[in-house]
Amino acid sequence: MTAPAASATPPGALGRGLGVAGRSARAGLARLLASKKALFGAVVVLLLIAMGLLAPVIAPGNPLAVVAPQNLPPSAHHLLGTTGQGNDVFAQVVWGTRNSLAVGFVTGFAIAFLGVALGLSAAYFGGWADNLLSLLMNIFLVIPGLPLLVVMAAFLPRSTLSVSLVLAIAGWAVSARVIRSQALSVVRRDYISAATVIGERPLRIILAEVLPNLSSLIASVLFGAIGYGIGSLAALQFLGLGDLSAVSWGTILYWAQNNSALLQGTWWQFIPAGACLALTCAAISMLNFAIDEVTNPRLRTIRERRTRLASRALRRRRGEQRQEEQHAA
Amino acid sequence: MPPSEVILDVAGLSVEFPTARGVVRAVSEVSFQIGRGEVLGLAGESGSGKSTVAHAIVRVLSRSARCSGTVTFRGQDVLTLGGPRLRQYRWEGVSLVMQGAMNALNPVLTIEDQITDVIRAHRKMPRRAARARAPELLELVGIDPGRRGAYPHELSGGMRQRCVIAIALALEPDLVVMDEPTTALDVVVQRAIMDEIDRLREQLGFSVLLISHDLDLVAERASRLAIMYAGRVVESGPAAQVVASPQHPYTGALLASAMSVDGQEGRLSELPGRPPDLIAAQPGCAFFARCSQARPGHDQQVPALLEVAPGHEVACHLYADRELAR
Amino acid sequence: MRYLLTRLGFYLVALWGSLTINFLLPRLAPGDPASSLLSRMTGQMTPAQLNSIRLIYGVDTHASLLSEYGTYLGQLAHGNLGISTSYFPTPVSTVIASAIWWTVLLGGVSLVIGFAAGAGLGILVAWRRATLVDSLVTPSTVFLASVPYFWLATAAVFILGIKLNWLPVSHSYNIDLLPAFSWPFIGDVALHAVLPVATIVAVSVGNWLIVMRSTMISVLSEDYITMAIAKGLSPLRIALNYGARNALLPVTTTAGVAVGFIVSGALLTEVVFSYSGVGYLLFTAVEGLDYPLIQGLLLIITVGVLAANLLVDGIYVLLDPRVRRS
Repeated sequence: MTAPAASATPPGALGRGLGVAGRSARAGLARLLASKKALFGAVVVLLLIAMGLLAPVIAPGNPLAVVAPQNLPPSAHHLLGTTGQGNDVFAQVVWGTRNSLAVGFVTGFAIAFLGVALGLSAAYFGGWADNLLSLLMNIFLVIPGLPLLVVMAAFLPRSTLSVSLVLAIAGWAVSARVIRSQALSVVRRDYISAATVIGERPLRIILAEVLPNLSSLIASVLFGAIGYGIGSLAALQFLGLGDLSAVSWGTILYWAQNNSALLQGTWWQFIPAGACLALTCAAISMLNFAIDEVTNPRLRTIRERRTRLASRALRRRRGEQRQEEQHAA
Repeated sequence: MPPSEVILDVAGLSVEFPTARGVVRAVSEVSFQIGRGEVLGLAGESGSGKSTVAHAIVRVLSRSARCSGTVTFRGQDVLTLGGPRLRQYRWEGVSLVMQGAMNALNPVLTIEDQITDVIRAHRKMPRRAARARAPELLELVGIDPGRRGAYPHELSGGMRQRCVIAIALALEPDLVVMDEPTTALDVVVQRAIMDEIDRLREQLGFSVLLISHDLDLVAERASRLAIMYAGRVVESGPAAQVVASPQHPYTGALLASAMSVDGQEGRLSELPGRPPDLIAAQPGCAFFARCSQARPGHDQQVPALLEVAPGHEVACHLYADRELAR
Repeated sequence: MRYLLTRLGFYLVALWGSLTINFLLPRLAPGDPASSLLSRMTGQMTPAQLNSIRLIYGVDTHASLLSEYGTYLGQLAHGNLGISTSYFPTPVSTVIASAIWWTVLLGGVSLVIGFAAGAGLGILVAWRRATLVDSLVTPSTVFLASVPYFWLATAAVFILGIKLNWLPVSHSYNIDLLPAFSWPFIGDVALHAVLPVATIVAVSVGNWLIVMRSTMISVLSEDYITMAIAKGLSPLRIALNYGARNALLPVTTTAGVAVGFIVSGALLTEVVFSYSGVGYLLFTAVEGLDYPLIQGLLLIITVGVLAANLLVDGIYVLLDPRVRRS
């Protein structure tokens, strides 16, 4: 008879943790899909991703090519007019989706990953590791973000990679602190202690026990990070700190500003790109809001309007009944 | 009970809440009366609807709740009150005691402020006069009046509960609804608080609706007892009688599953199953699934409350069958 | 008190952190910015000034990193932030001093108005949850909050400033006027501040609203709110003294971080409006690769934000008796 494998885990406490988390995650997902806010956010984001992927189809050609005289207003030939350099604005906005979304998403994922990894580690390992990480988190939280970004970007070469790096350095702390504070309460639960006592490896405990219970928070953090990534990338590009040769919503706005588009009145050079940016950020924010509502039951709103009317009708009926009784008496 | 002695008359009270999964019927056709100076105990497990009954009486249900039935106090249906009459009813007619050891007190206001604001909300009194009442009330419940400037977090759980009681008595109400007043306290403090409430009741003459899941507590302090299950009253009567000879199987099970300090050793009897889902409308007796004495047919119709002894009522098909058999 | 001292200690550590980042950046950056700076300024600076730059940035010196760090800290202690290369030969501290008050004006006014409006609206929509007000106000402010500052600023400038010509769109005051403490000048300053402040407020209101709304909703489910309603207190008193005063506590702890965001927003807004604050200064410094000015600005802005954070902590101590009296 062979001895049971060292890593064999008894069902019950351990399995329960994963099972309960899985069940609630599935219920949450169902509620999320039913939420109007989530639907709006998801549809917008998917449409924009589609626009970026289908760029060669929607706006064939090189968006940086000089195709027409400068500063032309929108027309049948150039749906959104031309830039100060003679590029087609529509093509630039469509192709710009790729850089803005891709870099924004990648940066967002990187920040979320960093935040989750460091936040979880701080919560799980505690002690001096937690003290050190918390101190780092708080320092990066309190130092103002944009000036730090600007200064870092100023010293680094103007490339997409360095911008992403800089965004990650400035942005990890928010996610990390949020994850850490929630993870602290999960880590203190009994089934985690049970798993540790049994002899489970820390990595396995973190991945299989702690992580599933934070799934909705991690989703929220991820969306927040992506929103931050897309918005801050555009901000840095707008200030001229990004790769100026790239086609991106932020750089479109930079060139528009450079071109004194405001004073010239060439609104098509900055309104469309900015609108795409605003729409993306709003959609992601909606998704985030919807996730918050699903995970925090108190924020959920139930259709109260109909029932208030119903109770008013009920009261009226009761009042009428009483009048009838008085008449009959 | 002679009509002149009844101060609160609950008749056919039902409360529904809309939720994402459907309409929850938290309370169904609950009726009882409370006489002047008496203590009515309302007992049942979590989710039985007893707190909802309390909230309906005190008019603090959420805006989405739908009530039917009547709750009569001083000749008016409390559920239909609005405006100045509702304000008058609040605290001067019926006041509420919650778990003071937990979050019933506002953390950022002093005890004095929390006594004063309710007095000033109902009586046209200058601030100084209202504040003078605070030390009086605190002495009444056995707290050093010098502590009236303290914040809730600076007091112990027992003292906080006494403060909540002091606030509840500030306007000399006719009825005090007490929702789990001692649940968050340890046993020794519990006894002291309940003794205090008894003493105040004798001194000031108010009635009490005592709500608790602790059957021992309610049985000891109440003169009459009503047991709730799944939103309905299943048994009611004089406390001593209900405890001595419980008629409803649920009451029997509740009493049997409680331990007593001096009781015999033996296996704890346990009630199998779980309370029913209050969304699906139950066609028959709600206790049917867990009842050891259930018989076929009991799940077809909701049992009505029948009197089995003077003042002692039970809603159970076992007695309805017996009535039919006679 | 001890709480404040702990916070102050932390802020000093954070300041030290940003000093160190400032020190390490030019040394870690690829492309050796310090040497390029030196070569650019060789024709314009005296040998002594060039040498001081060498010392600050550690170019061509054989001193260890640690001793350079010491020199750097020593210079800072004397208030020496170096000499600006784009405003040569004006020292960095002077350049910053002329700009900082404009940013304080912009940021301060936006913070106060944004907080008052956002928190006020947040309380309102939490109180009137799931009604028409909530379903209109909340999504629209959330939408505004996610719109990037600079785009909203640009759009505002375009529509209100250029197309409609209602408000001035650039600079902090009319350059033809001489700065003086006279009503015409103050009026002119106010006029120039309207659009920038409105932009920052429009975006930040959403953030304040979301935070206030969610803490308010959490607070409104507490027992002391139920008790306050049962007491018959006026809705205004409940919403403010029982609800908002408790909901403000977690909001205040996040306000410190919010200050940082307001500062970032103010910076971007200044760039769009060419507003003569430190944000616009930072932007032009980056364009001109004026490293001493860039670093000086990071330092001063950080100090400002940390000071604001300490102020917010002080306010928190005033608001929460649990921290005040422990």
